Amino acid sequence: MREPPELDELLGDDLPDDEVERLRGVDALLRNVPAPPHEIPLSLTHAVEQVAIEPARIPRRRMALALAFGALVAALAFGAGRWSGEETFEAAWDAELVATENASGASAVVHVGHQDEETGNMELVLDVSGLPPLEPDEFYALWLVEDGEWAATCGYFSVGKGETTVRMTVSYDIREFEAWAVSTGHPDDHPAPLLRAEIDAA
Amino acid sequence: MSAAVATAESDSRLIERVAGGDRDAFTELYRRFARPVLAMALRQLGDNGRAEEAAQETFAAVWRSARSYKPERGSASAWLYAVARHAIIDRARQRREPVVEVPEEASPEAGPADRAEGAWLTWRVHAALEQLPERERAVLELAYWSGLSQTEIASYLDVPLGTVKTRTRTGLSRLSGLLEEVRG
Repeated sequence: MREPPELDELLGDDLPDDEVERLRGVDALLRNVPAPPHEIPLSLTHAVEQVAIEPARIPRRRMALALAFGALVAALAFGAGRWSGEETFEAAWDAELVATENASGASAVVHVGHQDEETGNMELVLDVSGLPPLEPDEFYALWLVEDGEWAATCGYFSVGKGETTVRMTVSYDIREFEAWAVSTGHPDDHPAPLLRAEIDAA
Repeated sequence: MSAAVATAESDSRLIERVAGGDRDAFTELYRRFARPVLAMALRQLGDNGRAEEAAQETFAAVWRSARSYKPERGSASAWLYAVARHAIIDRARQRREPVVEVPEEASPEAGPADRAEGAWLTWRVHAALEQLPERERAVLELAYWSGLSQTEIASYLDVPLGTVKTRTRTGLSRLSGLLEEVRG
């Protein structure tokens, strides 16, 4: 790669000496850091646009409403898919989550779809029942655990009476994590797991 | 993404607005920090796909956790740096690979020469570049990272040589001010 021009060439010879000296510092910085990426991939921009559609943590009441609506839409879409015969989800394997002492009587099964060869995405269908009622400003999350820590979220959801079915899509390779866990809230809030299962995709 | 937010708004204020669920503020924050985040991820992870994933997770974490930002604990840029660092480490951990080079914390004491290769210093420079008008950033990037002379830049951009010199001076001057502000 070509070296950048000397500072004198960049600035010309008609700047006051003190101004040249002032700019010498930033010139040195620029010569010593690597180039930033030339462009931001559109795929990243599009993906981040979707991020802002996820529930933000602050407007909790609004978020709860959005989540409830999202869960309703997801459930309806899932039901409609099943009903219409358009549903193409096919589980590659299932994982049965066991209730911890924090949610006795609850149960859940995660149906894990085949990994999309092109994108690496995996579709998940979570059937969950018996979870305790939520406060209006709370929500559940399905997490992946690694090294005993919350490592990645698969998605957020609310539950209704009876069994709730939630569909999610993740870009992680599930098999690289050690366990599933369902909790309320975000790891920053130090939630206790309500349901848990080791990941053994075999 | 639309950038409907005034660029003069501070990073700190933008994060506060993101904490309130403001998508325009989130979009502006992404515009300012996407390249610094992606640059750091690329250096640490080594491939475009994983770097992109780490960058995505960084902004997802910003969206989820903006409320945890406390201005009294440090600059917005340092907070974003920490969020990005964690996302990159998480991404590397999923492959069971160690991450090297990313400092534990963003040091406000980083010197200009001996720490020039440091991730934090690079982060600050890249973030400051994003605050320049596009016309000024373009001439600086062509000069410093493509090695083009002022004449070559003028030809490449199809603008008069004097315009290139003016943009270079103005860009360097503005950048100097931005980086002094960050150090302060």
